Amino acid sequence: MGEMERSIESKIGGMDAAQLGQYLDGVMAEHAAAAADTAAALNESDGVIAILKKADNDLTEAGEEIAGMLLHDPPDDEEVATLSIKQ
Amino acid sequence: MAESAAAPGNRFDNFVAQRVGVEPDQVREFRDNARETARAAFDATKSKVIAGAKEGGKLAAEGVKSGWNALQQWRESRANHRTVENGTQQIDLMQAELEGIDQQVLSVPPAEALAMRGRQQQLRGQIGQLATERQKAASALANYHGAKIEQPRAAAEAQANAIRGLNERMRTSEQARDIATANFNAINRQISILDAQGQNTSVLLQKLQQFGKQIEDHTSSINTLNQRLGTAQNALDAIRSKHGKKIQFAEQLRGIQNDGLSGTLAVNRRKPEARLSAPVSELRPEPSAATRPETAAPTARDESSETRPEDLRAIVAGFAKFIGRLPGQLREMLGKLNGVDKLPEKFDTENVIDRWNEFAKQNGSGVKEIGASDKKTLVEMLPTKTNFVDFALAMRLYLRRDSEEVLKGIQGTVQKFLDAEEAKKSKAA
Repeated sequence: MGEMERSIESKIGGMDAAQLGQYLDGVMAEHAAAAADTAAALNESDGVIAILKKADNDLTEAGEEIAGMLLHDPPDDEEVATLSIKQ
Repeated sequence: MAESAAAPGNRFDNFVAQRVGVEPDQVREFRDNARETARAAFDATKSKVIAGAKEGGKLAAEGVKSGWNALQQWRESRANHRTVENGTQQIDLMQAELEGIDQQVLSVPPAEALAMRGRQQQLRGQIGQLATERQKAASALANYHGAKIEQPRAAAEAQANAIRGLNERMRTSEQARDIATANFNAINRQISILDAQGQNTSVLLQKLQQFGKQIEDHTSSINTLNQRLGTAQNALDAIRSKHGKKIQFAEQLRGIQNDGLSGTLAVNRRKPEARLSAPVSELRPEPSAATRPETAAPTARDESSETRPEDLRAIVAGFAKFIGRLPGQLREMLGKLNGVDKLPEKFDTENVIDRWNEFAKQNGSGVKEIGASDKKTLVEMLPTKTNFVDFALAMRLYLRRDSEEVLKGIQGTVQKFLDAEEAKKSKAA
């Protein structure tokens, strides 16, 4: 038996059936609130994962487009000049 | 036209009939039918082809302009990047020199110390100027790349905070589950005691069962949340690992923007062969006829005896049409002929035969040269100015070849003609 259980046991040790029933109602209500918080966090975690996936995709696209353009060596002026583009 | 000159028409029919080995009437009938069919088909598609060519040219011009603008922005961003990089290096060097002077200036003779102080002042001015330039370039870079780098970086950062928050909530939930479990066990034991005392515990047992179910569900949710958080944490770690350089780049840009003297850009350069193949190729569109000033203006046709190359191309295109097909490739070529907005109604027969022979000679197989005596006969047979249908018919009968083979030859001729023109233009440019 853990310390928490011993502490609870000392609290409810003298209770009769009616008192224990009231106590049980109380902990069930508290537990229901905690379970609701957990369910909310669970939903929130879905959003977190979705946004992370999007950030990953966005950064990958940016990586392909920009890292190739700027972080890596861009073409020289001469190369650009060879493009047969005239405005 | 043949109808307007009965005698030449008859002579032509006789000539062809003799060549092909049929009756002149058959030739005439065939010619008349073919003319009508070809004319109707050509008229029906001509305007569509020309409209399509113009629209295609317009789109191509817009594409080139857009690509050009993107290229300019890209070049500016590259220049800004170099300004930031070079500025960082120079500032680092100058700051190192400043520190060196600080260490020496108190232990040198006054004259030297004065010179050092002067140098320090000069360095500080240069550093300030470089820092301003670097800050400006960093701001321009951040603007250029902002949405693409900063937003996902910020999203990942925000989610890192969210993960921390969720982790805290999960720990709270785990504590709540532990307390509930301890309560369950303690209450269960107390119920056993009350039961032994003879008290009525049936309601308590029912409630305890419900409580046990609640705890099970709660535990299941916590386990799922735990897994999700693990997934989210892994995703975040992957982002940091995979996109570290981009995130670092965005953060450095932000740092330099905020404080011109802090932050450095430590980005890896790729080997030259890995350069930007995709963007460059996107910016290198196939030259469009519509974008070439020298061919952009549609020309109104005259009816002079001079047969221009454009006329010949139109004739050849008309010929292809006449023999029953207008393949995509040829249609595309016709579309590129931006100057052809109206086919010539008539052209000089002799001139066109000369042109025909010129290209047949240059391009070899596929198109047969018209011999001197046949040319003479054709010129005599056909009116001095004729239309392309008559000419095409004459050519077809003259060549006495399968349509497919003739078409192939014509396509090659047209393509070579266009290539030769392009080469001339390039050389002239």
